[in-house]
Amino acid sequence: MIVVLAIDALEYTLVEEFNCKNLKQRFYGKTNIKEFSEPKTMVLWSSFMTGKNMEKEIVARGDKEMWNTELDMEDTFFRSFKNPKIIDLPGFSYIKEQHEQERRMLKYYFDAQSEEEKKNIRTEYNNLAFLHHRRIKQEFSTALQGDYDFVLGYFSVADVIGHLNFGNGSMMKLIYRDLDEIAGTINHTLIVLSDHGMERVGIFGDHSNYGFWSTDLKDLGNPKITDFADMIKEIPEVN
Amino acid sequence: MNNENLKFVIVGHVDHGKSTLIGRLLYDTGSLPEGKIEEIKQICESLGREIEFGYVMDHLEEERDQGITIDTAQTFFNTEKRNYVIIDAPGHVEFVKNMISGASQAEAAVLIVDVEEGVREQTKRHAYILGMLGLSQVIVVVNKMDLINYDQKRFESVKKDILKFLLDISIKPSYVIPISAKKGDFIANKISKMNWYDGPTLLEALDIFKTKESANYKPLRFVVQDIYNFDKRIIVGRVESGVIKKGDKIKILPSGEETRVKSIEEYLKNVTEAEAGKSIGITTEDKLFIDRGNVVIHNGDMPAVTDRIMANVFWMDRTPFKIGERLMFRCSTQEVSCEVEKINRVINSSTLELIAEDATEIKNREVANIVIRTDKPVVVENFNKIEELGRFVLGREDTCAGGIITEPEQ
Amino acid sequence: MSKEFGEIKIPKEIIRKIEERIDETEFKSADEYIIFVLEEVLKEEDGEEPEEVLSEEDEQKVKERLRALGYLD
Repeated sequence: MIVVLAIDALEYTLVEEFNCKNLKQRFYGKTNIKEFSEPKTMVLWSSFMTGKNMEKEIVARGDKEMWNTELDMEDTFFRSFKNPKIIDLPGFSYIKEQHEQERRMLKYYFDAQSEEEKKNIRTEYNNLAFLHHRRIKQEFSTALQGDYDFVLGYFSVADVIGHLNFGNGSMMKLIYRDLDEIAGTINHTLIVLSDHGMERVGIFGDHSNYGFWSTDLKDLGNPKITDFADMIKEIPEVN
Repeated sequence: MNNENLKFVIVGHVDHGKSTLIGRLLYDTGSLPEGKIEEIKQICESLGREIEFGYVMDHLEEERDQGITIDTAQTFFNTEKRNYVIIDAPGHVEFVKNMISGASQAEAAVLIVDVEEGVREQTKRHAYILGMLGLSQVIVVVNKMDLINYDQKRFESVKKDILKFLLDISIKPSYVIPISAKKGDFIANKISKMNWYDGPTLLEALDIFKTKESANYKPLRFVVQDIYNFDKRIIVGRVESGVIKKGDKIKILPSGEETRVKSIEEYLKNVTEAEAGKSIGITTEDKLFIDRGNVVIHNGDMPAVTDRIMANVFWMDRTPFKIGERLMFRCSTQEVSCEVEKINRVINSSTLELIAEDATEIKNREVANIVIRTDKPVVVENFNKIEELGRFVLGREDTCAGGIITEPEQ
Repeated sequence: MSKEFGEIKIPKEIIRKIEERIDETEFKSADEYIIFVLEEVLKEEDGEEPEEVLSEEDEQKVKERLRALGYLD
């Protein structure tokens, strides 16, 4: 089994700072996403699974519609596997209602006028994101026991929580610890990959213009997110 | 509760649960800021996990880094009996250095072992250093009992291993306690799942330990700093241990001459005795030849008067020491030049790995067991007996090493 | 500040140390010294910006960024 831990907004500098050994594995580094005009989640994951820059195509759908992107298995490298399991990946098996609800609350937050209101919305927003995280963790853990030759688990918690709480050190640290422990439970060939990282703006978080990768296989240097499709296909276990 | 503090250190393999144990001790004794615990507990629950005390410690450390709250290098808690200070050195290097220099003397140690992993190389190195530093009050805690379903057989087997190893390095732990720092088992509270164990909890065991004996109760060691010849001849110095009284029969070392204390002289005060820690002057009934560095004692309990000392030193100078180089030996006010006759062992203070035996040099941050030969006899003690005369420094122009005497040879 | 007073127990040892210290100062009593110190500490704490305080500038900046990234339509 080959496993991809796809973590939205996993920030290189925090992985280092919190010394998340399982997320780092033997080789790790930053990805180069400079070819994209903006580090947009949907654009980046779509480019990852197709192995080509999908910015034009995704952006053309418009900001609202792009979240509904659902690529065909045949257009992705997942087709190289006999029995792949792809959990919640944007552009493929994205659980739209959940993430739509998160974005809606994000909007409420910024539209809210009073501090009190913002505080309540943030709590509710965090609860929603954490609840989803627990569900995904469960689903991912079950998938790892299953009869799959490829499992991809997409974890959005660092991004969703990060947007409104990146300045909360304890919260982010605990999230990274949790993600690190998830990585620690995987006893298969593992690739950890993020679309982009995150940088602090006061208490908030903005996307940074590089992603994170790690593997035990070899040093990938400063790869592009589109390099992974071929790289994963070439891992001997695939054949 | 009385006002005494007991300082102790927790050592062991890095992954065996040290920080969880510290967190748990603080939590169970109500020493943590409650709001923070609640916040962390809530985030943990949100993530679908149990609160781990390691996180709490992380959080406190983070605050320390930002200069917000307490200094976790010295963490405090208390039981009904007394206050405790956990000395948590950032690394072995600092720990060894502080212990040897006297900056933070631990009086007891808790050695933590993961029951699943058993005694590991790092466990052994840490235990070894406890022995080297002369720490005799040791508790072993066998952690993570919850992970093996509180299995007595497994515990006994780990206990046997650790006792065997500790015996080799002459450490006799007072207790070997099965615990789960994560669950809080046998830290403050006993649990029925381990009713096969009838010993104390960790806190009970710590309460049984003794704090450092007051230096007043130790034999008299009055170390001479200077002699003033005014209208009377005053011998000035510091009482390192014991109590000196007017009329006491005293002996001067190294000469061995005897006399009585005629008066105790304290600036602008009329006193007849002086206790440990006091800098005073004395006059004597007989006029004896006394010099700086001499030690005044009562008859009976003799320190060592020797020119040959076995010691553990911590080298803290960028320029390494090479055998043959002459150094100054300073112990209290005694100052004589010396040479290092033999370097028995050199240990990396960071990894605690043995670097060399019968070596010829000691580099920065290394710990070495050496034999020192002083040019003139000095009055010293085994560090464990009277630490004030069991601790010394070695210097060139500046101090370049600190050490503790393990064996003053007669 | 209210001029009503309440009682607080302070270890004698601390009081003794304060009394030693105020000899060389303009404080007339240990009470005066303690009130001064506590006021200073509280002042400091009141003045600290709590972590949660939100800056409107940050908020505006992130709002724009999130819009650009397609989160807020």
